[in-house]
Amino acid sequence: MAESTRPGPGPASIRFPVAVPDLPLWIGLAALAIPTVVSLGHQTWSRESGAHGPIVLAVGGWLLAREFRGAKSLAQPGSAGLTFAGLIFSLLVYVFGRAFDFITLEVAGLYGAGVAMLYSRNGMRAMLHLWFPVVYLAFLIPPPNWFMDRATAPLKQFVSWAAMSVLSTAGVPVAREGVTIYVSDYRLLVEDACSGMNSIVGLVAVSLLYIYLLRGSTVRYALLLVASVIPIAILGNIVRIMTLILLTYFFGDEVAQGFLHETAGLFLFVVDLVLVFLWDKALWRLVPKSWRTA
Amino acid sequence: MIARRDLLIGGACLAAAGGALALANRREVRLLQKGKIADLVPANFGGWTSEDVGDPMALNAPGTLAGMLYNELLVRSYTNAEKGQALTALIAYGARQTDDLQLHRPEICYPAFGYALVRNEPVDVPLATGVSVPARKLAAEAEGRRESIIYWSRMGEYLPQSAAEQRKDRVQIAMQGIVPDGVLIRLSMGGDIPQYDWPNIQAFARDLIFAVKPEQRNVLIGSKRAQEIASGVKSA
Repeated sequence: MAESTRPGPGPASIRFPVAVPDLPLWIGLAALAIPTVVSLGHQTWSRESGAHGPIVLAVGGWLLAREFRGAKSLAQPGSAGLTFAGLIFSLLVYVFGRAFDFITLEVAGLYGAGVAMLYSRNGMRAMLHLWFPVVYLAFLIPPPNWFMDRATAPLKQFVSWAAMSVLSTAGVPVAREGVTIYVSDYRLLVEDACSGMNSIVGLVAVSLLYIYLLRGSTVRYALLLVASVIPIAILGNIVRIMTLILLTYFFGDEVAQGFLHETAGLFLFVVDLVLVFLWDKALWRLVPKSWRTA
Repeated sequence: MIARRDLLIGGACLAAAGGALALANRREVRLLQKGKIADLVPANFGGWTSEDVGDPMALNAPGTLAGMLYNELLVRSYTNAEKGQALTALIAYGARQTDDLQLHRPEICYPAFGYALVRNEPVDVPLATGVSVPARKLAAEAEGRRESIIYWSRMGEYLPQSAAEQRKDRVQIAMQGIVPDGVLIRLSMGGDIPQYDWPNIQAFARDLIFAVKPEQRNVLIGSKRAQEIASGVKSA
């Protein structure tokens, strides 16, 4: 009791993690986001194709906070009409997606609501300044399964064919028949070997982050790097399948399967980043001098 | 201190969260009430004998996509000595069809497994007068191999004939407040048969359905068609 009467910092200086005027927005966002994050955790994020989700969320949030300092001087309230048009449309999409089990729509609606809030507080000029983190967070929206299946099917074919060709040229006895890859006495399922292609969205997100953080150069150069993001993701998958086949060949099925399940996503991301890094280094030497400085 | 606009925005979000919660309350409805697909589909009937191939490719191993999608995956190779025919039946059953986990249609899987689809069209498999199953007819080719395939899928009481229809039916079912079960029946003849042979697969499909107990046929073809053929047979 005595302590509470002691003169000192009053209640006004108690530091909440968020400022009081922001509370309605945070509460609204939390009411939408918490159920969605729980669903994502159960479904998409626990799958290889969506494993990048939590990373994108953390990195996107960090980038947003970082860029926000620079945007503060530009901030002025956005137009009420645009805010509410965007918000209401997003909320309708969210409700439809959540109620009828379309996770893509649910997350897209949540994303739209978040963007509308950000715009309402900060206006268009600040939003343009924040464009990268805002676009980056859109990678949280999981593409529909049927779309991914369709889009990656030809890539899967190509990736397994390429890995096989390289290895058989190098003298490793591999063969492919229908569903399976045969290597010495073992067989690998193409499905397992190729499922890495599902990570393509995550790989693109990681590469973009690298380019953004290290883009000290010109826009032209950054765009050149962005254009190579998808080929690099494909190359990363070829490396992964070759690793899998070689592990099976030299150490047997058990080692390869263990590797596959323990480190599936992580390995792919590391390979991808190393490839982007090497490509950046090589490209930097190849481009004309005028591309390097603004 | 708190802006009115922010209160409105926050309030709208809370309302949306509440609305979604109220609408999202769905119950699970399963046409396969008890037992297994393996017991429901007769292993031997009308001159056909079969052998459970199980899972030759270990497709249903834990951790694989198929392992998560399907509660039961039955693969049987049927042979008919009299007709000199052999046929593979794959029946995949999933008790909960959700956005994340739902039937995968063979026209997507076959190319991924190294087959080229040279034909892919809708076909109606006749069961009785005026009753047919909306199915799909595929021709797949790989090096030195040919497969003729007839397959159909059931999701709840719907038999979607294409991926687009499957999405549309899923919305319909969700709006009825139901999480359905689903089954995919794929019948294929393959190997080095030089000619495609869909008529014989269709005949097999019809005989197979009629060999299932009348009250359980809905698991394969939905309640409406199951009733129609049951009453049709009685009156005939």
